[in-house]
Amino acid sequence: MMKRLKRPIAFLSLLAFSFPFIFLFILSIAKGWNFPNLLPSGYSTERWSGLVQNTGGLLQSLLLSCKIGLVVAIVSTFTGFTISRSISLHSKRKYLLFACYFPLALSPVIYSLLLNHFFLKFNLSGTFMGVVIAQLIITIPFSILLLSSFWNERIRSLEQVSSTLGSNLQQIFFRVLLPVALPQLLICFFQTFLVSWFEYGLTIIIGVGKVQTLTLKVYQYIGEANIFYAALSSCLIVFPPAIFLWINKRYVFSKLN
Amino acid sequence: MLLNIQHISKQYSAESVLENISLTLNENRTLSILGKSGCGKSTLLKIISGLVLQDRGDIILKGKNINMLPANLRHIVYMSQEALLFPHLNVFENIAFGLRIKNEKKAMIETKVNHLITRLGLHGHHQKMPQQLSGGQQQRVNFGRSLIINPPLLLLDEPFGNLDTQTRAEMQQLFKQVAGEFNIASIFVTHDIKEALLMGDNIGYMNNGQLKIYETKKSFISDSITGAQQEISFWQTL
Repeated sequence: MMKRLKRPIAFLSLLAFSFPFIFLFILSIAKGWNFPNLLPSGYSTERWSGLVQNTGGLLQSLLLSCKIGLVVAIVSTFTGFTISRSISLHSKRKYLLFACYFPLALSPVIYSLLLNHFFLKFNLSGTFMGVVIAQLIITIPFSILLLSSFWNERIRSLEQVSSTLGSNLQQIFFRVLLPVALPQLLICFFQTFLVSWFEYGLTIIIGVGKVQTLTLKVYQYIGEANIFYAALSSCLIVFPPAIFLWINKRYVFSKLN
Repeated sequence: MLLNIQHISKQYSAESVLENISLTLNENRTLSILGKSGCGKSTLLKIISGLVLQDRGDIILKGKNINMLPANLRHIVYMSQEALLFPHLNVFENIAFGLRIKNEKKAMIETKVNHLITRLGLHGHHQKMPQQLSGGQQQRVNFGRSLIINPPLLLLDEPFGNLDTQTRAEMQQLFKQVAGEFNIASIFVTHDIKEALLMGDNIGYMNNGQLKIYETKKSFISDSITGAQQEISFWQTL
């Protein structure tokens, strides 16, 4: 019975998963779509070709989001990895790890409002660097929490074995720790990239509307009731996460299992 | 004399783990240390290898005080109960690890590793990953990885503790052969009386952080605290 239902269930799941993507794509190429028509009245690639010409600054926002996401993901993964190691060796590690929950427990909007004064004082408001720093304040503790479980007794023993075989600290880091931690580091990188990619509250407050990421563009188009451009920017916004999901499934999870 | 340990002591918080430990070890000899779990055997080995710092006492290797020398410069290899192979490297690369970090020539690495692989009975397993090996095979790779750097001293912390009886006997025999062949000096820690007697040229007994070295195996057996007599009478009355 279950065997016979397996295929239809799989098909329905796939349909449910892919429907939003298909719907957004159709909406992004629709000329007009009036109620109660089932399908749009016509199709055009005008908006997509306008993207290349940077119509409405969409391409610029896409590149800016990529840049912020990559910087945030690289910095927070690297610092999260090294700080979580130091914390794992610290006598007060329980308290230090607990402290890492604070930036995450607070809403990013409230958090950014509290910090806004300092960003203004250091002339970081409305700048690329300001938004990156604000996002790092959220993503570094997140990385530390994500990677803290990596530093167990076994890893410590591997470090010790490597050391008695003649490795210095640098060799232990690059030849043992980094390759062993690679799947966890990739997951951390993807997760922090996604946190940055979808971040809205922090970016709008610290960026004061000057740092126009793709997420901000989507909200802007929704606010303007411009559903076709909102759909186009939404297509762009779901594209990198979809790629990461595929890479995760293809390379990372297969290594972890 | 290869190793001379003088008055080593170690405390964790208020608890004394090692008290005034002294021992000597000559070239190409194996010292077995018998002791129950938690008696301080592993701490002693970790101090000798440089992984843990002693509170007091001196470690002299080949006439040189190595108290302040970091673990990676001592070249004293510490082998634990678990093989602890590098999970991202295959058998060949695990064994070659110590040579790779020294940037040795590729051809030399290949010759040395292949020789050890054959010698340790791992032929045909070059490309296998650690998780594809049995416990005994993993410990053989661990041996190979340690031997390839030609360490002056090998520290074995219950290395066969996780193996079944038959594999354990095979590994004991292999170790004896390899130790002789490679002229290795070693300290072999175990909680198994038979293994301690079998593996060591000299033998010691450790209890509550204190070490007693016996001049002969006979004196070790006749000392009631080692439990050797009880073991013998058990087998005799069976």
